[in-house]
Amino acid sequence: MQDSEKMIPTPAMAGLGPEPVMTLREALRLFRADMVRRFQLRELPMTAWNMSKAFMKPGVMGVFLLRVGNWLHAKNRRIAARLVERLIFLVTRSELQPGSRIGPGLVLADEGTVGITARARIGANCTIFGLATIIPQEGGTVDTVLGDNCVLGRRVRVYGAIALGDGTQIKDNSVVLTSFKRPGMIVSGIPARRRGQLPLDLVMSWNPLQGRPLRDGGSATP
Amino acid sequence: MRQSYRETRHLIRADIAWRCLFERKRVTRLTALRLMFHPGVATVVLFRWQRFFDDHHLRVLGSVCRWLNLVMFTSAYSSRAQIAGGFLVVHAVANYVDDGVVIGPRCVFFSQNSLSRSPFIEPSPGAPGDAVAAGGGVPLVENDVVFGMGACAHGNIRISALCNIGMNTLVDFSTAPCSNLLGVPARVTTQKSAAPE
Repeated sequence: MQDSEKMIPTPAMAGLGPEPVMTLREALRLFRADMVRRFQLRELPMTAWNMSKAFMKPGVMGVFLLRVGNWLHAKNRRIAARLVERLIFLVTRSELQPGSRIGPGLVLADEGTVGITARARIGANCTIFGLATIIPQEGGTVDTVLGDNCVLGRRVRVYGAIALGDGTQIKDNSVVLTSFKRPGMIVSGIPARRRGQLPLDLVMSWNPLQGRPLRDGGSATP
Repeated sequence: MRQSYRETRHLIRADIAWRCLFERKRVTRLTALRLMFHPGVATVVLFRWQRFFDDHHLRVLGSVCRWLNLVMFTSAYSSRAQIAGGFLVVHAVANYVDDGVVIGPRCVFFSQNSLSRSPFIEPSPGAPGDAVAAGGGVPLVENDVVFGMGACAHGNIRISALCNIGMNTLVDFSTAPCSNLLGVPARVTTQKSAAPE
């Protein structure tokens, strides 16, 4: 049976659980986890000076505003969430919709320009490079689900109600139209095909920003 | 090696001269001044000054240039990248050049191009699932290479002179001179034996 023929999983597959009731404290905790992972991957100490420098980058600013937007969306302040979404676009040229559910440890590329729609469900410790876009099925009711520790290269398009397993790596310029649910898959091409598979622990100990294993050798989980 | 003020000016002149040739304009001071307002030229000039400031320990000014490139053109060029004169960016949108990348003279970026170390971990061909091919290393691009829109190259590879890389191509292997590449992952579509004029 092909991967695409299998059942589409629930967001719980991505370690997200049922719809959360997010508080501001929770949103800020998630952002802190994002920053911890970012500095771990950048191999920089998390000092106030480095934090202030990082905040100048559209990718970091986008993640911060996205977390605030997530909180507003969860509190049913839809107009405020919509304004935050517009602000994200103006500041970072990214389309990050506050209705999306993203686990801790999200790292966006410095230059921003990422598209994540409201029906995207993304697991923990994902790294998304510039111009990558996640678009669910138009008019559909099923979400696009990405597992933990996924890496989306530059200009990757993930279309439709599909599911990607933990540690999936999608190479640059690929267009993903079918599910790849096994962990540690490497996919590329238009449309994307399987190019290999790796044990999940190897993927988890990899630093995608530096292109080498993590310094401490362990997972980047904050 | 530190880039001096004289070298910076020389490189900017070479960039503008190559741009004028590309647009079939005469190289005059007025043309150079007008081209400074073109995003494709402005992004290259900002990169040249960023490199100069960073080399001379004027980190704040270097950061300002980097930030302007990031915000205005969503492009990021590392100060540790070595880009020779005649660097032409057609549309200054979302270009990315990583630390240590070497780009030869007269290379053309259309837009959304990236040259970086590989962010992916891959199985080694000899021992699948066990060892991994190191993703370290960055591309080395020789002279007169044209990157089509969205083309990118990563890993420790050498893109030889006079290659044309098609739109949305992903190059992750070294290429012979005068090759045309296309696809994700890239395939060599044609290869000429002699350099075109």
